[in-house]
Amino acid sequence: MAPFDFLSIAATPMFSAWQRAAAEMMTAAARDPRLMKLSAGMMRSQLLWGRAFNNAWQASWAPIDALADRDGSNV
Amino acid sequence: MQSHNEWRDIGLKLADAFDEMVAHGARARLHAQAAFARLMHGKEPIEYVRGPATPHHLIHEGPLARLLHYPSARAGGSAKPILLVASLINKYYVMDLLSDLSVIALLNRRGFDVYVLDWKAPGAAGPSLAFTDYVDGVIPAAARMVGGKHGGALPAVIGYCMGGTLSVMFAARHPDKLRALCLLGTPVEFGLSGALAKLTDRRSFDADLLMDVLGNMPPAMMQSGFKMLNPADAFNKLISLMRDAADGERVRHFVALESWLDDNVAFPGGVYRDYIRALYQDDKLCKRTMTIGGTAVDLAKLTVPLLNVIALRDHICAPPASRALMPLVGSKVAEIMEFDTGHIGLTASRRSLAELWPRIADWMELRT
Repeated sequence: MAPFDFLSIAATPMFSAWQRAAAEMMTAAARDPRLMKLSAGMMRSQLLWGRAFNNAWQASWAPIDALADRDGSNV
Repeated sequence: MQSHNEWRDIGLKLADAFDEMVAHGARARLHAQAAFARLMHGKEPIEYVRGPATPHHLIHEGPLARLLHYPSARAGGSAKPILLVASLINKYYVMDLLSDLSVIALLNRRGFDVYVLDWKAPGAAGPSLAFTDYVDGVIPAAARMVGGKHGGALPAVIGYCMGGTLSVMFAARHPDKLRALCLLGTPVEFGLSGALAKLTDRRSFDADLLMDVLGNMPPAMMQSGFKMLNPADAFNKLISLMRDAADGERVRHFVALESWLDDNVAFPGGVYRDYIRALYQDDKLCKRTMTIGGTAVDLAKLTVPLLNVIALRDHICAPPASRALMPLVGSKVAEIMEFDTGHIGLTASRRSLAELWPRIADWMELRT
């Protein structure tokens, strides 16, 4: 069986056509409005969770910070 | 001790260290890919391509930037100083990519002393930084330092992309601190900047939420936004590399440029909020409502000689976004220089180096 020769294959018009078609499919998929809406929504919900966690974490430390402020050790 | 806040600060510093590791890894990966492609053509691997190509030295390091000096190649005489302000998004050394592809080396050969602001990773300070720290802080301080090394002579400033936007605001607020201004692919009316304006539309993009969670804008996320502008680019580049690897120069150029693209520092979170809200979403700069540190940015006070270099195939800063600056400034000498190339091609293409930059150097010699 002949070894795989990428360079010879890449030089063919069929490969160029495949490359063009693959690139167009990738671009169309990445720019599909439904996919963009889905990924923007997923990112937004992840960020909202992240911010909620940060706020909860800060809030949980508030009593301890208040105690430390009172006794002057929170510098 | 507010140790929970200290954990956040440690996280931001670790993120910066991670970004640096990723940059080194990307450079090594690209060399490995290039070596494999060269092997398929029966060729030796290329020599390892490092960052900035031209010898330079550090003259000052602050918390936000390093000030580097590339001395003029002409012996004797007094070299005219240029201060280069790069974008906060990508590193400056696209202008010093290879020994035979370096805008900075060309300027040195033309007798200019080039000083560069090499932005540092913002770390824990990033979320509290603002435009004023750069426009009223680092850049004027650098201009003063450069002037001090040249007997008080004011430097000409070259600003690239967002570095140009910073330079425009600096020149409008401190017109007495520079001699001339040259802009490269600089957006001013962000609503006209093309696909990036759509990506950052306020209906779908919440910069405040992003920065509340992340602190600083990670370079990987920033770069993914640019990659979305041309999703198939990485695929096409890989095929081209495999096909054309017999040409050592081409491979060197590819590896140098791709390594630079993956070598970034985080964008300071505080500046990022304003950058998206005030510039991309509200377009305050061209609407004359931009404020920094509580005071207005009045482009009519930009009175130094101005050269606005525009790339006609720029998909990051579409030409109208740059041209919008011209009627807003107060400069008596304000020229546009157009060139048929892309955003990065302005500095990283041999054609630009041969055809565009000699004309820019001529203009700088005349106006400085």
